[in-house]
Amino acid sequence: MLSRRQFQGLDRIFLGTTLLLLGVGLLSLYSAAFQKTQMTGVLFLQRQLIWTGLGCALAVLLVVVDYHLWLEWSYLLYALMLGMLALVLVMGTTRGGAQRWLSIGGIVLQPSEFAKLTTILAVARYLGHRPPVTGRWWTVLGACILIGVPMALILKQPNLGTAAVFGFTGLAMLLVWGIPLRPLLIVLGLGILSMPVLWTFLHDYQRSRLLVFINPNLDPLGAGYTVIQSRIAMGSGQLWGKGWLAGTQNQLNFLPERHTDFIFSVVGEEWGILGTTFCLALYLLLFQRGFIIAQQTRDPFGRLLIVGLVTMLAAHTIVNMGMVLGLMPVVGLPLPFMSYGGSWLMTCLVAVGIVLSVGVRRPVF
Amino acid sequence: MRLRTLQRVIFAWLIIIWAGLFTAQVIQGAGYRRQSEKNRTRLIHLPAARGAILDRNGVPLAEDRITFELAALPQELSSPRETWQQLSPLVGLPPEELARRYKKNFQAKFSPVGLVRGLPRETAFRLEEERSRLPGILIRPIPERSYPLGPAVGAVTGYLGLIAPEELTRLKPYGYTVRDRVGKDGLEQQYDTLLRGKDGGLHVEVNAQGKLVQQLGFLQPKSGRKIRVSIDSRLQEAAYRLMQGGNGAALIMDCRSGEVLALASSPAFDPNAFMDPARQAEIRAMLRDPARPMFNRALRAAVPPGSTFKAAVAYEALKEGKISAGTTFECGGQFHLGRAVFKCWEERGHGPQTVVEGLQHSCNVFFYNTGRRLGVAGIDETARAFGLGKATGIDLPREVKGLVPDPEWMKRQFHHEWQEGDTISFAIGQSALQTTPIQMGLLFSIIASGGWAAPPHLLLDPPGRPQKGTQLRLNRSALASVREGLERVVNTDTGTGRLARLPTVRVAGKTGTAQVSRGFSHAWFCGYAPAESPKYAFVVFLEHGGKGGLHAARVTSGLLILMKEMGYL
Repeated sequence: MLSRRQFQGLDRIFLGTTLLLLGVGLLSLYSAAFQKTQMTGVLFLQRQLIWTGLGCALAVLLVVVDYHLWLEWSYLLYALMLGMLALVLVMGTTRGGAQRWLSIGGIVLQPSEFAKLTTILAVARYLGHRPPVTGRWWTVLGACILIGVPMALILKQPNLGTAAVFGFTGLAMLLVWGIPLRPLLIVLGLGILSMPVLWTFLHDYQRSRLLVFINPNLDPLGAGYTVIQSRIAMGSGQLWGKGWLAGTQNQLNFLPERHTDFIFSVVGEEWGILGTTFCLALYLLLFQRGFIIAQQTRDPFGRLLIVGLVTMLAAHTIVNMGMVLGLMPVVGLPLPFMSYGGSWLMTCLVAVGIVLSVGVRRPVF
Repeated sequence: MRLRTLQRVIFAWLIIIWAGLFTAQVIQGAGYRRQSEKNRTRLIHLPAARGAILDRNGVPLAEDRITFELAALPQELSSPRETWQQLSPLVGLPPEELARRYKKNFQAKFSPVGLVRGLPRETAFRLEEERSRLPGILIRPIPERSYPLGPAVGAVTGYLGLIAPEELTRLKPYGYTVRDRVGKDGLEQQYDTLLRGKDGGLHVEVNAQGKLVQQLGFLQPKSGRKIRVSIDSRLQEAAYRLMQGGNGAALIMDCRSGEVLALASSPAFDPNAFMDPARQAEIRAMLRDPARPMFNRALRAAVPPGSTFKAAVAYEALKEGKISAGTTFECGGQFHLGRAVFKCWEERGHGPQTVVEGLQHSCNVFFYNTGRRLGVAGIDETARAFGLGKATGIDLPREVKGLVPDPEWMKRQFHHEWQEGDTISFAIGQSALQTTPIQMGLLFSIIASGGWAAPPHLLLDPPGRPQKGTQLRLNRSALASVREGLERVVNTDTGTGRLARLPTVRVAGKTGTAQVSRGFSHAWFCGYAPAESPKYAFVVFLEHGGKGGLHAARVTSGLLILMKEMGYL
């Protein structure tokens, strides 16, 4: 259990921003799912509320229990997760051309979301044990394998966006751990140069998305449609927005996937730049607080853990918003705390729980 | 410190995102606002035409016709009442009726409300010219399924209906959506994936008057594949008409290729009714009708085949040497087994009968004796060899298997032993034996072609999976005796099927009168023509149609006369 002193060390700002973002998310979801619920009868809001409750309970549990326990279990969790990812490829449910979902007794899971957490745990444990001075190349290679295996399984699904998040997160963790910079830059440079080769490995729909990202008017009814409509929604919000439940793009069904990946365009349309700036500020505050906790902790595991989790959340936020604005290709990454979806919301709240858990156990000055 | 660097990178990215937000929402915001304003951009759904189903000569059995629909777009309809007044003389409906339909069909502000379907072409063009005076009114070309032959072809084509929720979950990955119509029966269901096209759409920006400003995108609808089937529409229509609305089925198939030229079930449903919302009541009545017009009897009516089955029994007994061509049994009108008495349909008796005569007169006593010698195992074997007890595999949905009873089945089903009496009635196609008309078609086509079992099928183009026929090894002399018997059924004055005799073509066949527990017997007439070098097998089945030698034989001769006229025979 937490001591009184530890409880006082709970990072109020981090917790507060999370709760505010959850609140904004639920409001937007109510608006986004308003028409869809009437059409399909699926109770999006109610389901999301249930998951929010479950996720918060889970987060509380994670704060109370010392996170070193999870680090000890991390390799086992990692192995379990690899098994689930393999299972997805064998017997997963296919939607929209990608095999990402696993249904167990009526509950549909997206194991790639949980894979983000377990991989970060495993990498944090692995790198935390090995200071960056001795035999560093072997260590870097080991970390790359730890990240690379689930990444490859997820690429196979295929899920380009999530695989990219793995890359960003791993890179951030290695960077903070103390990887030498010059060789890293050379490897990254080579990576960029090899892009044309990678192109040949992409699926047709991934290529079309990338091409359409460069020019949405290539296919304004197909792949480009979402981006065009999303940008119209976003832009038409202007300064003050059209008001809650009054976004025409949203309510007139112009926005596909508006309750999941494109929830932010609903915020933009209905609340204008006021609303979007507010959300952006909340995310910024959240990430900065996360990094402050990482700086204050003395525990190398804890620091790596936070770096991984916060980078994951940040990568999602940046890519998702860029995608909604048409600045980045549509890769299907949800927005933390706001997008509809149980697996993802749970993942975010677990991440928050772990960050807070590291926070309460940092030395207090 | 590196943590700081990471922090700054993320900060920088969020600033870039904010710059993007600022550009879209503030700098370009006004332009996007204009685009998003109601009725600025619109998606017009362009339904794709479904592929036609053609008969063997290219005559359409089902095709999509372009019809014009008058629709109103709520968000552009400035003064509905005035618009109804103006439209009324043009479409010939009172304004109140238009107002009523508008109210009834209204779904949402932005989706077009259908008002009048099937507008004449001239009216559609007139309205299109007048559109500037009628804001909010549009004319939509809609492909609509039509079945020119109506009820005559319903059993073959099936019909279209809105996709059911459980079907949708299954078919969604293949691009089906809620508003799609899918084949619910017949060829429409069997070849749905071939026939259905891919819908397209038009994405346009329009001004406040609903006039097109610019086209933002266009996705060409893709028509479905056209298919050609082996049905001959004239024969199909005749087969349906000759049954005169009574309950039954009639089919004609090519013995060598298995191609089905006619497959009619009666009474029938009009597939066009399912396309017209105004005919809902008719559909409901059809579903309640005790005569079951939606029930395709040619594939799904499993009933005892009666004496038509004697052809198979005779063959087996000859092949197994249980009887020879010269074996005679004396028919005194009755057959005694222990204390039980089995009657021949001819109470006075047929006298001494050989196998050929037994078939010719459909003498029950002859076959009671034969069946007893053959035993239940022998009859079972022959029934299965000729394809009974399993689906023929015709390319139509929900064909039933029928039933070939055996002692084990009897024990499982009724918990008593198979009695010799069961064998006796099995031998004349009674007992628990159940066959469908299409199965009998296959059985007689095997006899006609000397053992070539070509599974019945319909699709000719695109060529489906090759339906390989199989050559059964049949005993030639046994088959020759059976075929002689079948010829005599029609072509002698004492033959039970003499009413099917034709001056121009020599016909072979077998009558059947299957007794049922209630009502009149079922009438069967199965056979092939020409008798000397068979080309086509036919089956006529009339539920409670009395004696097979009467109506069923008449229907057959009607069909064969037409086939001769058309040059098939």
